[in-house]
Amino acid sequence: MFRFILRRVLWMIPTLLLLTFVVYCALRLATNPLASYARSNPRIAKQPEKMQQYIETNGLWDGFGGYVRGYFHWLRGFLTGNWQPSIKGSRPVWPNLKQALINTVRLGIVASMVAIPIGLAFGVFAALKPGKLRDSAVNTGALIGFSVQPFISAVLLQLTFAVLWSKWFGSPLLPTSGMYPPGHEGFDPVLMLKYMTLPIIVVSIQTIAAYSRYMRASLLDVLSSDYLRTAKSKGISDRRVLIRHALRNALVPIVTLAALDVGSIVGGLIITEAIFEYPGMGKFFLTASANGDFPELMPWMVIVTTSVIVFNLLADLSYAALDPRIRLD
Amino acid sequence: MSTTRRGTKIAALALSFAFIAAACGSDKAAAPSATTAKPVATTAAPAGTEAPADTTAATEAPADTTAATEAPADTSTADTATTGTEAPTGTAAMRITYDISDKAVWDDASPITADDFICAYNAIMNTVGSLSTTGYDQILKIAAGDSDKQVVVDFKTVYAPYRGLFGAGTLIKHDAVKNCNDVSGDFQTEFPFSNRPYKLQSWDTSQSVFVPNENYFGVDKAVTPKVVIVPKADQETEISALLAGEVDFIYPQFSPETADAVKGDPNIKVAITLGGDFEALYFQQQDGPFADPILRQAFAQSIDRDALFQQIYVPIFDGPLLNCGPIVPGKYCADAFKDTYDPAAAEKLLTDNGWAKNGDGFWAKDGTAPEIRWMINAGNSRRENTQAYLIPLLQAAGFNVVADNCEAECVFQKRLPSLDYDLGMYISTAPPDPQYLTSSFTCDQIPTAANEFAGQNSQGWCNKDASALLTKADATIDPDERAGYIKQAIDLMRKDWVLLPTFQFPKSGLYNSTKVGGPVEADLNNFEAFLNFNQWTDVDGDGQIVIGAEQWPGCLNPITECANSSWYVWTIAFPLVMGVYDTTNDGDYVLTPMMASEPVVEIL
Amino acid sequence: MTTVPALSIRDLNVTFKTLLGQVQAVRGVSLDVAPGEVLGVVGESGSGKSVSFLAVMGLLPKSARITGSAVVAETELIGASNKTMRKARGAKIAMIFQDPLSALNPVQRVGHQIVEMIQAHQSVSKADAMSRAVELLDIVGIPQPKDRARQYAHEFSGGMRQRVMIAMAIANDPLMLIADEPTTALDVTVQAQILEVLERIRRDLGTAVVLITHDLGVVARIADRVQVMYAGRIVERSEVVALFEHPTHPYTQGLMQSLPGPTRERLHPIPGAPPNMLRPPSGCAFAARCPHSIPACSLEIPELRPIRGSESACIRAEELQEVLS
Repeated sequence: MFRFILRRVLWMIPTLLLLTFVVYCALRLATNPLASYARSNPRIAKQPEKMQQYIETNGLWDGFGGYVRGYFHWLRGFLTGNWQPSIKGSRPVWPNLKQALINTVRLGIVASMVAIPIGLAFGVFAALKPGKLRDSAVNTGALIGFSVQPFISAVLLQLTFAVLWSKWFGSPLLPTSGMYPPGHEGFDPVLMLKYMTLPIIVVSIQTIAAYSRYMRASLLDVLSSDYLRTAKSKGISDRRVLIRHALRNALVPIVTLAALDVGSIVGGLIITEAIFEYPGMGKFFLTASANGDFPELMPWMVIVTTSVIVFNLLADLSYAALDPRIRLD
Repeated sequence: MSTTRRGTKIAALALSFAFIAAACGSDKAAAPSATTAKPVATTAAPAGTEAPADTTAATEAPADTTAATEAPADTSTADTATTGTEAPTGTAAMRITYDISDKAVWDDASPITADDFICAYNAIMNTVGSLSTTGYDQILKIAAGDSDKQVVVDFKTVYAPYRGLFGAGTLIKHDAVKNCNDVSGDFQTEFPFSNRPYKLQSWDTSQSVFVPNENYFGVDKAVTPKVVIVPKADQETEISALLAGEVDFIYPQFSPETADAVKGDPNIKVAITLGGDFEALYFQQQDGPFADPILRQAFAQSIDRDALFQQIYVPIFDGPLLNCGPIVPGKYCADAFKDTYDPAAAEKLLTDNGWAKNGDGFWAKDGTAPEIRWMINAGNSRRENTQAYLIPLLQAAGFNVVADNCEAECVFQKRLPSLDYDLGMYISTAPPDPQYLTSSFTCDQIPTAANEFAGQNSQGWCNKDASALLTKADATIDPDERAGYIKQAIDLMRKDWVLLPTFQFPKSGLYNSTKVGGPVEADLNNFEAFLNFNQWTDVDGDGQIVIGAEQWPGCLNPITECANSSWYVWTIAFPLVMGVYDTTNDGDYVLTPMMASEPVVEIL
Repeated sequence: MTTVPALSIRDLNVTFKTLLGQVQAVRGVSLDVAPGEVLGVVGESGSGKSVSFLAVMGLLPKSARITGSAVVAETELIGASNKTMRKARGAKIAMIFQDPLSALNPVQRVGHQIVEMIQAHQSVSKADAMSRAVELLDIVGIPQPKDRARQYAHEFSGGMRQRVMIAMAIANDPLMLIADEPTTALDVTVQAQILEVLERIRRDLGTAVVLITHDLGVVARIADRVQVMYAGRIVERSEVVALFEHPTHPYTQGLMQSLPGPTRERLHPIPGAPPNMLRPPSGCAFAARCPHSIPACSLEIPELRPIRGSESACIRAEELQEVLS
């Protein structure tokens, strides 16, 4: 096990290098950092020697060789903490990125903690009576939940709980956007939770839908298995059959899926964050990409990619931990 | 078992790529709404074709416009200017003496002095990435005068738009930055000074908080204990937040839908005023069919602007047809473009000059009926409607017009600067000072190698007389004389058929009257926008006024690229730093309480 | 053997509701299994042999309608409450299945699974249950039972897994062990070992065994009596030797002829296919495939009746036996 982890962690290094190189090239092509810089600094753009200096400082050479050189130039800066400042106002990137990361992780974790158990409960509820009304209800609900894109549910929720609510009852039940009420400063978990409610619901709708389907399928699979029949034939209580044998086994693949999902949260809430003006990774990305801000986009990509890769490893480990048939070696 | 593992590994890789792909995908999708940063050249004399985001097509020419305000690159002046101890190295043509009020102090009670002017000048001229040096590059020498409350500025030339210099958002408190010659590293998370009623208490990606400046020296002190500006992603969110009572005031691009959306709530007031934004049809006349003045005139005279206005603009806002030219009503407007529609004269003009309709019913000369390419940015429904309305009419009138559209970026970044169109249609913003006409309509502003293709004269119009008039206007201090030259130049534009103005765009402010009161509507047309929020009253008594911002400034530096956004200057630079003049709601300049007296201008 | 039978089934009927209609899987099966007896139940797939006993165990899906009676140690199992059923299952009547790999929980240690079985019916500590589990593994012939108890099902070979299943099934000394095709998935040599284990359990513990199989060879090896099922009914029942020597039912005879054997040069498969159980024939279900059928066969369903020490459900049993012998 230890050797497996060690090997996987070591493998992550070349994987990350390759991925970041691909991302580096893609971003260089997509944002053209030199042009973005020139656009942002029109006066400098007219001075070739200054532009050349910018190219040298930031490794923005052309051609394949230039990209490779530029990549390692970037990598050295990234690893030694000499991150290039944002092209907008030369701000350091990390403080904002860190705050965005914290905000998104907070939203993602809370949403997952709410939505995954609810989804699982729905899945169990449906799978226990397959083909019956409750099953169809859950399936239909999940289908609708899947189809409702965040930008639709978000606007509907804002309309209902803020706009219409305030029209009907005088004041809105929940705020439309932001992370705190305007003017608030400091940390206040209760207020924050209130402001996170709608984003959490939006993220949850699709998560609940997904996990109810996962759980239903997984549990039905287990319920029709021979070993469940064996368990029943032992004369243990139905409850014990369900919990110790059926649920326990049905959860094995789901834990793995959840680990993968959580890993993707870091970069995956772009639309929700944009609509709710939630200052997380998604907003960070949108702003950075709108500005063609290569120095901001690159670390963002690295964090998102790393998160996916790390959680992949965790998914594998959790699978191995939960299913003795999986051997890590 | 190993297949399972390989499976997850592949899935993981696929997932991460999907991410990146998704991320890049959303980049594209998000770009239009996010890049609507309205570029306004602010710190210096503002000008330029600006492209305000309308609801349908959000992106219009962002970055190119800033260049409009800029004099051609002049690196030689970018050397460090010292604080005036040096002897002047050239002959001064004009001297302005600014007397700063003795009462004028920064928020830490330290006096505002000549050093702050000099620091601003050095920062603008020497900071790497300084947005614009226009006007300041005419300065020969800047120094303290008799006292440190007096600033004496010598100019190389007579510079009429001087009121735009050292304006709102420009001054830099000299001891608040490390080095006045390079402020690019300052203002990273704070704006450390203010001489306005409010100062910036905190700023991050989710809000700006303003609190009263106790040391404010003017009479119109801050009324409300706190003003908060919060970002709202788009108009829908903005309006929802207003309706939900989360924000008290928003300042969206006007659209009929906006007004409809709030109609149900009697507490929401919609204030609409006509601002500096205007739309026009432009004729590219350097080459192509409109290089022929006969065809150009006949074509222009065949467009029924009144009918077009009724068809396209009245449903948006029932205002007047714009007849001023590339300018909005005011002291420079003489309605030069009144009554341009004269189809009979057009037909006669063409016939007299050897044109005749060919078999297809198109006007042709020497056997060819030239094709006229009408370029707009695809996706802008108003402009597409205009094409759909006008093209059949013009074709019936015998003009071979075809729609030749492309994406906003292609229009504003590529084809407009390279004069690759015949007929164009877009929105521009007229700032208070008409100096922008010089950078948009003079001969030497036609994009050429000489100006590194950065010239802003995208019509390719070169009329030596008009250029001379505009240049002269910029060097004429007397306002009436200056206005006279400008009117003459605009008359020449009409005569040469450079453009057909159509519509002055309204600006709108929406506010909840149960939450905010006072003179909310008074300054909506101001170039400095809702600058008077210090006088607004907190009706609901919650101790704060909340303003929703459609775009969020990513940084605070007033000298660099940060300042290249309307929302930056409206929400940061203007409300924090007072200069020599402020602009008024009528598009004029007014002296600020920071000054002891009107600056003294001497022509040397 | 006039004692109370270990298992007594009377007029058991099982029907499944399907979209096409009622499938009559078991039609009026009655039987007794004496304590310590091995009863072989033979028939082809779909004959109702497994379904009958799954019905007794209460392991059929809810779509099954079960009528009749099945009594184990004075406990009626058909229509019994959950509680009664739970008390009987695993304690009085236990079952082992065809594929021991899928029948064992893949993510629980086998020792734990046996412990669970023990603790379901006996109030013993976990440690005691575990040492009993190890003992059971030893009884069924698993070497190093202590270590093996800590392993998972996938770490065992097929035969060893089936031994684990048996160990689990006998954990509470049930009266009745139902073995549903316990050797089908195993190699021939392993088959023999498993049958030996079953034989030993019957011998040492006195457990009655129902051995469900389609393999007459298996039956021949350990069964005391055999009953043959066809289309949801018992068509013949007799002592194992008698059955092999003079089968009384044409279906049984058909089965014998389709068996490979040292003296047989050619196999004779039974022509035709089993009847559609949605609408079973009105008379003898085998009539359509029977080489000896007469019109009377299709008139009414023949009952099982004694024929010279055996029981047969063929109306021509007597004449056929004379003809054939």
